[in-house]
Amino acid sequence: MNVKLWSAIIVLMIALSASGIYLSEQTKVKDRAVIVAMVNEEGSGVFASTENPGLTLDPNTTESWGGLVFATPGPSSIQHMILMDFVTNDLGLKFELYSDTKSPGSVYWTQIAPGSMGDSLLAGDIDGGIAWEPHYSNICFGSTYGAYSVGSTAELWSDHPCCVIAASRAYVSENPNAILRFLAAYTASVVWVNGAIPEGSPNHSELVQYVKDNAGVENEVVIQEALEGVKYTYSLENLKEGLIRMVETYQDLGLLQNTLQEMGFADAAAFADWLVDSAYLSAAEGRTPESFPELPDNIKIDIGVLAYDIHQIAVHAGIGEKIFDSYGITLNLGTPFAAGGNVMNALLSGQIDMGFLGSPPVVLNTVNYW
Amino acid sequence: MEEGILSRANARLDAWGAMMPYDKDNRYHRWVRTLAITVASLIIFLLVWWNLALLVGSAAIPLPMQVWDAMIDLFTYGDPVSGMSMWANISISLQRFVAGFLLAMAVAIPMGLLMGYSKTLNEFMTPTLEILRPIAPIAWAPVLLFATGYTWGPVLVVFIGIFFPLLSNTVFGVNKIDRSLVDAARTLGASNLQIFYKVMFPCALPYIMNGVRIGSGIGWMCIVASELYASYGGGIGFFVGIQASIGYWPNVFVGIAIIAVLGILTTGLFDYIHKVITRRMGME
Repeated sequence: MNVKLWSAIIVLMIALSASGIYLSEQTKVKDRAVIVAMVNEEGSGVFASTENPGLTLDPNTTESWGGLVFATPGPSSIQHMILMDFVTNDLGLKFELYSDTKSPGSVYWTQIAPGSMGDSLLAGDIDGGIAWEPHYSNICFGSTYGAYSVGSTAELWSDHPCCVIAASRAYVSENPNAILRFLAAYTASVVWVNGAIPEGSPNHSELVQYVKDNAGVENEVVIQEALEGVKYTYSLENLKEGLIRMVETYQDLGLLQNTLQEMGFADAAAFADWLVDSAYLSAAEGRTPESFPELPDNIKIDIGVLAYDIHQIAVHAGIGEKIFDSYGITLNLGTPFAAGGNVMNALLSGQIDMGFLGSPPVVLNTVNYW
Repeated sequence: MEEGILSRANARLDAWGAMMPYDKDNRYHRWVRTLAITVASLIIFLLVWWNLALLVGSAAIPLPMQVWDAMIDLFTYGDPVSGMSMWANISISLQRFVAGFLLAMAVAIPMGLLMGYSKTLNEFMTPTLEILRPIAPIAWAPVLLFATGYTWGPVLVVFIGIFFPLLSNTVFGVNKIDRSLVDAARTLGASNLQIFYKVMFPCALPYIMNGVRIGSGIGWMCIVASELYASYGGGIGFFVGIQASIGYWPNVFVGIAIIAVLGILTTGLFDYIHKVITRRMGME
């Protein structure tokens, strides 16, 4: 028996146990996310293959929907939640993950990135889907995929929340001036985008070019449909109500790992109040660059954006039109993220200071990461 | 002074060692030793994990106990996101793995035997295979998923992952056959077909099994990667991707642990078959 080896192993176990106990007694403050501005409301839609004609968002069409397979961007997206809500509450059908067998009592979902939904529809893998713009308009109006529009998500939930700007709480408290300047520049960018959406407006062609460069769409008919389908707004006015509905839905589905009470919130409203901070937006909205005190250097912000998402076009337009420059802000966009969950993970691990992402990943990751 | 303490401790340990003699020829002693080492290794692994999780302080690296609790919940209540049980997720991944694996065996083994047998065929096939071989099988995942659909796509990714190591080992196995065996069979009147399945295949079998063993490990990597893209019917890779997207990190670790266990079980099984065959062939 090699007693020396075993003694070393036992000593190692004792040392690791002691260091573990010591480390577990050290309280480490976790960074959290805070929503500082809205990016857009609505801006998504449901499409179906022309092989399944006549689908509408009318709750009395249950029979037409039963047994169909719909693509969603995934359970952590607002699109998934809206479709699930419609299927279960309006149609009275089950909303199940597709796995080869079909029943008329269910609508099935499968997770596909919106950019690939058109190809999946063509290949016959799905009967329809729900996607954000510009993919929804591209699939319905791009005349390539044999699809038609079933309806926009605005018909199912008017003014529903979609993308938001979330920031690291640590970054916000340490850099209030950066947040104010950023939000002032961002609100000015949103105003610029809204002014450029109507065809024939002075900046329309520039906006279309920003979409072509950043959202991966070339067809100008599709671009116009997509821009008109999105409600670009920075206002947080409607968000809290949407967040409360979101939290309650996720609680019912068992997707929240921690209860709000465990986290120290009385209810979903208290959580939404804590998650959204509109003070910076109120202080920044409408401010001109000259209203800020001079800074020795430009403020650099590491910011995460989603790939090929027209909802976030204002940030690209703001950079291109040098609006952020005029407020002394340099944005480092890095490589765009594929999904909102990845943006939240980057934010909470300190890789980025702020991020553009859907509101559901903010809720899910905040609660589950608590 | 210090040297005195060390030498006294050394002597004490030697004395304890003498009190607990280890007989390597005693089966019971060997079994206890293996068990003790395994348990100690796992305890240290868990302690290191615990320390690292606390040190990093990220929710993305949960504590071992959180993962254990998540595992109990998942196997008891299933996955709340997809509504599937963990057994259903495991079953669908296993089905894809087995389908891809059987397909790779059906194509790579005959092809490898023919390429080892015929120099001309080997020379003809090599340029194409050498272009395709360095491509990581995972890179094919998005292509195959959209080209062949979500049912066959993951299966074909596994097929590619297993195909190349299996083919290389089969060709290598045939090339290693003692030519005098082939000549002897021919002298005794064996036909080409008989030489093929009575001499070449059995002689190459240990090498083929080695390819199977290596390929099975790669096959698991492929199935997980392809399921991260596609979600028809779930699967362990899909489960891991979904849980990560909603920040359910203990569940992600449960998925990772299941992949590890499935990988260990399949490679362990092939390892065992490989050992049996090499022993029977007198190649130990």
